[in-house]
Amino acid sequence: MRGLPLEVRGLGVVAGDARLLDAVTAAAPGGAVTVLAGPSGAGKSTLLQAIAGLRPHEGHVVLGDVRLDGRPPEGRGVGLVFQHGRLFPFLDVAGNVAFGLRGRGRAEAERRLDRVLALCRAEHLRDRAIDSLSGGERQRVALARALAPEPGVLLLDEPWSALDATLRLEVATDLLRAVRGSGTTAVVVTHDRVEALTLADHLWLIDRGRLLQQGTPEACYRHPATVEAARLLGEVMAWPLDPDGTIGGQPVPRVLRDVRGVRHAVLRPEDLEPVTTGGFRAEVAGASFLGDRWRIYGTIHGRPATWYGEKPRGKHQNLILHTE
Amino acid sequence: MIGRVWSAVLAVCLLVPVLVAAVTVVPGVPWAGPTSEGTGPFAYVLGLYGPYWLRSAFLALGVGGTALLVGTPAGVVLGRTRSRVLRAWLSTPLVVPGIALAVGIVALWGAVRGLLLLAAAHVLVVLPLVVRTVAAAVQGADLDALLQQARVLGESPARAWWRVGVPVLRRPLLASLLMAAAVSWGEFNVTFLLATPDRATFPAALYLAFTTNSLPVGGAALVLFLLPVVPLAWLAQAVGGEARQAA
Repeated sequence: MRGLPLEVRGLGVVAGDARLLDAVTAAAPGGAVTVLAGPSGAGKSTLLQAIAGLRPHEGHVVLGDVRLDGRPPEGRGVGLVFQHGRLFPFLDVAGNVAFGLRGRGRAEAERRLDRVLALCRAEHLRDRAIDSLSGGERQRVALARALAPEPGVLLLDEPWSALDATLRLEVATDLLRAVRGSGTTAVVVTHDRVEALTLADHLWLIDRGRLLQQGTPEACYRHPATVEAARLLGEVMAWPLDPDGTIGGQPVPRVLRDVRGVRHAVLRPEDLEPVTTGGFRAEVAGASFLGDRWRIYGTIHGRPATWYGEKPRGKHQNLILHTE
Repeated sequence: MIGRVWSAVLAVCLLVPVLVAAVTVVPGVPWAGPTSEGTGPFAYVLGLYGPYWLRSAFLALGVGGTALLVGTPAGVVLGRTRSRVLRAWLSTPLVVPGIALAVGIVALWGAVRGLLLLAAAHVLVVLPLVVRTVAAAVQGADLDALLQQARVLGESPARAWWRVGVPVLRRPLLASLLMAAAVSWGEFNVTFLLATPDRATFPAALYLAFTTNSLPVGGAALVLFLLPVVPLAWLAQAVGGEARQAA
């Protein structure tokens, strides 16, 4: 069971009076890395646990053409890498990685052990004790352990969350290189928008237990389905529209509804471009240097706004709005 | 530094009286006084109280094992629960004095005197120790998370327990067993009320030796009393320390 597409249909999870997941329906393409992104408390880990069979759920989990609902975790063929790795402290690295290979025969287990250790660049860690590993090494071993039984789908619950911010993207990219090398379908949790856009072949955006949008990172970024989905992938300005459906008479690139159904013009900073004449007249409140450009903030027709450009010289700038 | 010195002073204060009593078995110790038993103090104690020593040893091993079997599931539950009420309830026996427990047992099962009742009482005394040790290990090792991981890697709940739960808890369980056996070996309060003269344990013999025999005989009884309990306590401490490190 490798590289199979994963589908969840109407997945719901209830804990006491709280509905943690509400009828989530989404598909992860086979052999691709799907990133499940959302803020803290959105239900990301709950969704992974439901897929893995660790939480009772409503709805269906379908791997390939096999329905997994009702099966226990050990019967789902799903691999799961938790935050902090959850390595077994009483086993060394080889013992941990080979844990899920019971019953495969000694030669086959050795072959798989060698293969996943090489895939995860962890051959040199083979005989090491778990408490001697660094954070990044632990995650590589945890990934190798999850890949060893060749699961139909691999779920990664933000396994790099404990790492230093400067290392996170590097380790995440390295781990997902190994996942892609294995050809396994993967669903990866993150709450970081840069990680979501950088790592994903496919995106699931989730908030408050509901799926907001799914699609390629570019499609989700350029054509967000809701104001909330747009916010998950980057800075946005959500402005109430004028009665004529414009902003100060100018057409806007995207009009979206928020959760209450109110229509907003949804702009990203890069939608606004400083020009010498014409366009909006913006009042500049301040600016911060980003290295290659300045991030300028102020107001346009009384609405808070952010855009990028050269260092502002004066209290006003003219801005045009890109509609594509 | 001050803390270490203070701890060392306390340890000396606790150990010196024991050592003073123990060395009375050495011939010529000035404060030992004359002996009237007509034989060496160890031979005398073993001849008179040997069966007490053996009974205590069997009792300690049986009590330790039973407490482990009975207390481990409760320790796992306590380690997993977030209920403060349950925690408080399971922790209450820790603060009940042994003599109170003995009075309660006499009131409840007084008619059933015998070694079995004594063993049951000892189990009740040491049970909180086992439960608390196992509970702390369950919490420290994040056992549920590891069991979940084992399930996802293909193990049934029972096999997950066997392959992960048992190895993770092995050292805390061994430490509990040793501590329970050590406490049972030295338990006097409960034994004093519950044991009949023909079923008395070695602590009772120690009491008799000091109250009815010469000081060297009492010292010999003390040495024989400490012989298994000190290594047991040290071993439990060592195993417990390693268990904490592993967790």
